[in-house]
Amino acid sequence: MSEGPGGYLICGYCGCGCGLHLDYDGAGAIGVIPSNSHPVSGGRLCRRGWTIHRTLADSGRIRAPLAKGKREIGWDESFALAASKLKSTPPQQIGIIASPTSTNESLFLLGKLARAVLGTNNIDFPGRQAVVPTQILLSKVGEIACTISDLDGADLIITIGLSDEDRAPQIAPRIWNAIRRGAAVLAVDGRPGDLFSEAALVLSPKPHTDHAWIEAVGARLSPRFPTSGSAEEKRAETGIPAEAIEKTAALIRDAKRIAWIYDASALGRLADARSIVALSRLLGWCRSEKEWVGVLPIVERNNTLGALDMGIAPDLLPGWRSIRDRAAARKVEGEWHVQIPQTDGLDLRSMIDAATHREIRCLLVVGDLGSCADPSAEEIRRALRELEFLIAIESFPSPLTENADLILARLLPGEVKGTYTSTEGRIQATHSSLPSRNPQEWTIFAEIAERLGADWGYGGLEPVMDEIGRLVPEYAEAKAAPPQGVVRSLWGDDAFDSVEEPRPIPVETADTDFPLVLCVERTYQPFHMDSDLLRSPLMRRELAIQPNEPHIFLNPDDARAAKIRDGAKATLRSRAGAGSVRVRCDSEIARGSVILPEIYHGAMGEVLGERPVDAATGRRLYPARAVTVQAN
Amino acid sequence: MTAHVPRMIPKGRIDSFLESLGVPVAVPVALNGTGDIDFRIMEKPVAATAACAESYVNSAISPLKFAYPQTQVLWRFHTKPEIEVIPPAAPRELAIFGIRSCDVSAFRYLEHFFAREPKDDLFAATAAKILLISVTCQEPDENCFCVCCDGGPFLDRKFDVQLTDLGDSYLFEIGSAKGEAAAATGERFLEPAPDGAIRKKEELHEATLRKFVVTSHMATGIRKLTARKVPDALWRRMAARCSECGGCAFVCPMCTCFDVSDQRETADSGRRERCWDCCQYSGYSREASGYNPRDEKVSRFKRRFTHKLSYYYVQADGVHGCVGCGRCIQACFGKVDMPGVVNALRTETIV
Repeated sequence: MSEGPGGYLICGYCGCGCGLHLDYDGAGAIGVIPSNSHPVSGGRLCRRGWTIHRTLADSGRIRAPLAKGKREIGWDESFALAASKLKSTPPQQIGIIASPTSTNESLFLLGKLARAVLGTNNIDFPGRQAVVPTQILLSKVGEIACTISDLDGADLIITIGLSDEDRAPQIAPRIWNAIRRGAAVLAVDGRPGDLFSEAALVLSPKPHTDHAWIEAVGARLSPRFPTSGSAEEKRAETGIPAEAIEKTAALIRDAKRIAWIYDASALGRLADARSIVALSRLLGWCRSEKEWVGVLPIVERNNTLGALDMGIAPDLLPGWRSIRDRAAARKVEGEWHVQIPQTDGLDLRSMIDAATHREIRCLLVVGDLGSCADPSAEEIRRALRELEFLIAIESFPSPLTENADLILARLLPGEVKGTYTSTEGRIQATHSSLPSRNPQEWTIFAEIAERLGADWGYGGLEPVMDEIGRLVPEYAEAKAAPPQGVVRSLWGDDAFDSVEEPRPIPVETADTDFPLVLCVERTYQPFHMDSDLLRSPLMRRELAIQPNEPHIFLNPDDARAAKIRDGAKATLRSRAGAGSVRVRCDSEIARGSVILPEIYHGAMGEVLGERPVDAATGRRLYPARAVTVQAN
Repeated sequence: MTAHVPRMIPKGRIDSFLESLGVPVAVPVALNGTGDIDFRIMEKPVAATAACAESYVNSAISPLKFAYPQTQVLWRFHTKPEIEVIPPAAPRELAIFGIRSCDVSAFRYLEHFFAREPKDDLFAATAAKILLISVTCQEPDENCFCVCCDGGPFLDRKFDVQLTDLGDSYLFEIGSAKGEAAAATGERFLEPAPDGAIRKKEELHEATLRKFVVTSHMATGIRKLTARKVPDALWRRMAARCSECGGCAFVCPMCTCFDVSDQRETADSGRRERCWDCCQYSGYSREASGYNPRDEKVSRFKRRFTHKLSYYYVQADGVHGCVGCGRCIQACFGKVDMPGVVNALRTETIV
């Protein structure tokens, strides 16, 4: 007996890639069995993993394809409808928004559908731009990416922007192990949680000033380290005392094996090119001076890395090759037997913008766009209204499906077959054995392609993975891999070797009228971004927060000073504007800071005001705003 | 029940014996090529032992899940043509083959717990149909500490049928009326135990006791905790390591908490179900008003171990809340599992 009836899954709710089995009673999934043999999770699961089976049974799911007016139609009819709309739309007026939660096979075929069948490079996924800084960093420093297990060999672990351990739960055991082994932990965080209660040092630099502390530390380590100002200026900019800079430099100087972990989608930390350039210099120094240096970027979604590897970007082919790299393009064309468009497509923000101006007429979106911060929910709403035809592939009703002309029922992580690539580059197969009335996502794209005249003829997942392996050799080995997969990181490829001259990001500081500084962060609320998780009654209870009621976190002392009690309503005001919020007191918040969970960025648009775009990364950043919180 | 003369069963006859019981059999299997062990039901018990994972120590989740599943429908209802509540199907008989002593001990506690008023009829009806055929442990896992908790590795009571591997045959001991009935049904596959079989078992037991790696000084932990001699700072340091994942409760065969929720299935029908819950979750103690008496993680953490270890509960239940299965050691992100906490209580240091 080797087959568990529910199947072996790779959790789909963050980048760790934990292993678990589903328990199945013949009618549905009734439980979760953690995989004790998994090299990363080793029997440990977070709340999300432990409740995977509960989202599957929710009655609110979209259970069949729906045409306009929520009329239930058959799959055949829906494929034909999708194909006919796509066929009648000029390629440059089609946009494809993929999901970083899909499998590699599904992403690969969606990319192939876009480029080889529809003839457009207008393909992107939400959150891709968040990892552009990491692409730049790792391409500058070279092959330095490390695995989660590598952390156990470091004598200094430096974490940046990892305040909420829910972002990557499997880091926690490695942090505690480091403390146990006597290794040092240095946390750079405005809101260091319990995970760092025994860290050797915690630095809390002001938002968007990481470049300053990195340069100040670099200057202490080497007189040749390039900095853009005096040590005193750097310290003032970042707000970190001289002795903390000195201690940080000492920790780095004394360590032989250093692991750096950072949140690759961090909002206020390492979000801009300036900080990334500074960090790449510091890593370069470490590399030349130390026995070992590893970098582990924590990506936001379970298959962000896979989406990049599969070429889900307007300017990338599978394997991180540039669309303008003719040799790479010829290889793809040889495999696909068709010419692919040679000019960069539109990125997500440009697609939404083009839709608003009716330049994109037909949009195919996989997964939920509601959590997307760039473009904002309001910008997306405006664009969707102008579309001629919207195809939404979704599991649950959302603002997106409300506007859709065709809804195709999407399977949940507990039902999917295929491979994911985790934050450490581990390619592993998830193979649910749960029966489902609806097709696997990759077959949806294959069926649409067939109806558009393509002769793909994949009989199953295996030939798809074979084709991926031919174009992205790192994936060829994944096929014969054990259930725990193989680690093959494509970070550090040379596709991103140029960075524009970094420009400073405007940072407001507190003053007497606006005595607090507002930072936008991902908090516990990343759960809200995985809207299907909220379908688990236990998760709904745990959150106990109304998604439509913005709230902020304040230090209890700051709340007392403003005469606001925990849970009360208040007005959050900046020089740009004001908004109504509920206040939650949290002693983990540094005094003088206000934390706004990112999911409320839309509702607090007036307070945040204009959001600057980092020229080098193309990312729209959250400015640090001086604010005041007043009791209602 | 009268005292039973121990019997033997040759290993080659186990399948026939299980088949003679005429009920589905749950056995430990290695899942999906990973080596992870879980108990799964064989509808055809023929060759059930062939499906058994070889040399397994214990399963990732206790086989008690057959009596108290992670998610369980309590009843279904529909409102048309008229309101009707449909109870779940009557539980069916099941034999669990290969269950370990720690889980047998926990099973008895669950029977005791759910029998208290208000009695849990669903659990009682399900548990009553389950026959436990346990196999004593001779090679404890590196996480096992049942020896510190009176949970195993060999039992002298509580079991239905207890098997001990003596080479080509198992020593077959009967510990309950259910075990007695099973032995009567499969009588033809049993043999008289030779002289010295019990002595051999006791020698194996002694030898096994020397193989345990983890020690958990439960009595000291209970004493310190009951006397409230644990510094607050120590509780805080321990709680800081808790990720609030819920894993400790979900893998614990002694944990009994559940949450109840209603799921609508169609416009006119739905179901009420319960699912395992965890006292480390912030919503667990939150009241309807929104007030949470255990809002801070440290208070939840303290509460969990007080419930497991305080003498007040030991007195009420006759046992402390741990059988030493070691699963929490595997599940915990911060090593604040049972032995980790007990040793911290004892030494006032965290390792």
